[in-house]
Amino acid sequence: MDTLVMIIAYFLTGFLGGFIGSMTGLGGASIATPILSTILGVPLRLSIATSFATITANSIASSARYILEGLTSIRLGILIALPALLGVVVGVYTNISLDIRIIYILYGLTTISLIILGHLKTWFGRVFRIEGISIKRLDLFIVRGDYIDRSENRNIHFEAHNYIPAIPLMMLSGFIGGLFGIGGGVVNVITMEMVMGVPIKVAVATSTYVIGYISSVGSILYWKKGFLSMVIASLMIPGMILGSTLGSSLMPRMRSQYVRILFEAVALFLAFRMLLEGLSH
Amino acid sequence: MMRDYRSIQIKLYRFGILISLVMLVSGLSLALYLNSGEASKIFDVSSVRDLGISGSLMIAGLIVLLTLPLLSLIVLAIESIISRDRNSFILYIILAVLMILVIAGI
Repeated sequence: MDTLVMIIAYFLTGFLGGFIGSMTGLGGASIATPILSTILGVPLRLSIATSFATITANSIASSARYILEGLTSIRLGILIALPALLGVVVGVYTNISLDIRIIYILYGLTTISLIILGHLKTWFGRVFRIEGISIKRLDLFIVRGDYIDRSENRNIHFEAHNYIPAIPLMMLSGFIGGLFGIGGGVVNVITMEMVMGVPIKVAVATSTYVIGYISSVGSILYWKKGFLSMVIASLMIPGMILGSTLGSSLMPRMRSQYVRILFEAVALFLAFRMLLEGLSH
Repeated sequence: MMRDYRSIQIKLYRFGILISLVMLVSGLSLALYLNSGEASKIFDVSSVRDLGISGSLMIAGLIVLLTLPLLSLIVLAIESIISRDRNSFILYIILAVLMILVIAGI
């Protein structure tokens, strides 16, 4: 591939990952890794590790904005990062020990599941409440906080409950993150919103903050194992920051649901490509 | 109490954005340095070390960027000692130690 074309391709991959990832709520790496591995021909583990490093930078850039706006709950973020971190370690070592075909197949299936899970969020929360996890009984760690809702222009107080039931879910989120080099934002947000009762805006901001911790550790582990391309990461990072900034600022203004569906179709297409890649290997 | 720590974290994270731009410049120069025939070098992690200032700058940038969350955690822990917020300090230090142990491979 010509050098200039290569530079543009990696920058665009980062941009598309950030843009579509923020539009669909899947996160940048879920889009960038399939593009890198199935379209640009980068080896899968290298794609996973490089995308993981890229989302660290993306998380840092987005968190700076969210913390400034007072939407991030730092204490809650640290609490849920603890189990997620353990999950990441297991995920990274599982990835290294698995056959590459299995990773392709699992990657495709996980992305498809995450898209479906995003749509079934309401149902998921209802099931949790039907199961009757008592908020009061499980309150070993309660995190209280408040944030300013700019759309309503008022201060909103919140309390995060149910830390204990959230632990296995955050471990799962970390495991998915470590295994596929993705942030696991969908699982994080569902856990915080549906299980812990955190307002969606705080959940999204805190999830972004947590992703910074888990992806930094995960990508360092991959780096130590020799699966990280610094050149590709350097070219992708600014593209992804730009894409996710644009995507997250455009998303609230998008009136039509069709736009989101269109981007989800792109994400699904990439997930199926990963699946087919694994099956055809 | 937690809100008092925000400014230092924002400064650190903004520094991270700056590092990303430095990485873009070094990445661009390194990618331009490699001609198309040597494109496979991009996948060879160990060879980047031998590619002069751009390579070193990129490695330094990536190390700073990837350790920035840990660094911010340590700064937050120090801040919480100063403001005598024991609960927060314990929380920060547990995560920081855990991260260091994992990174060090213990």
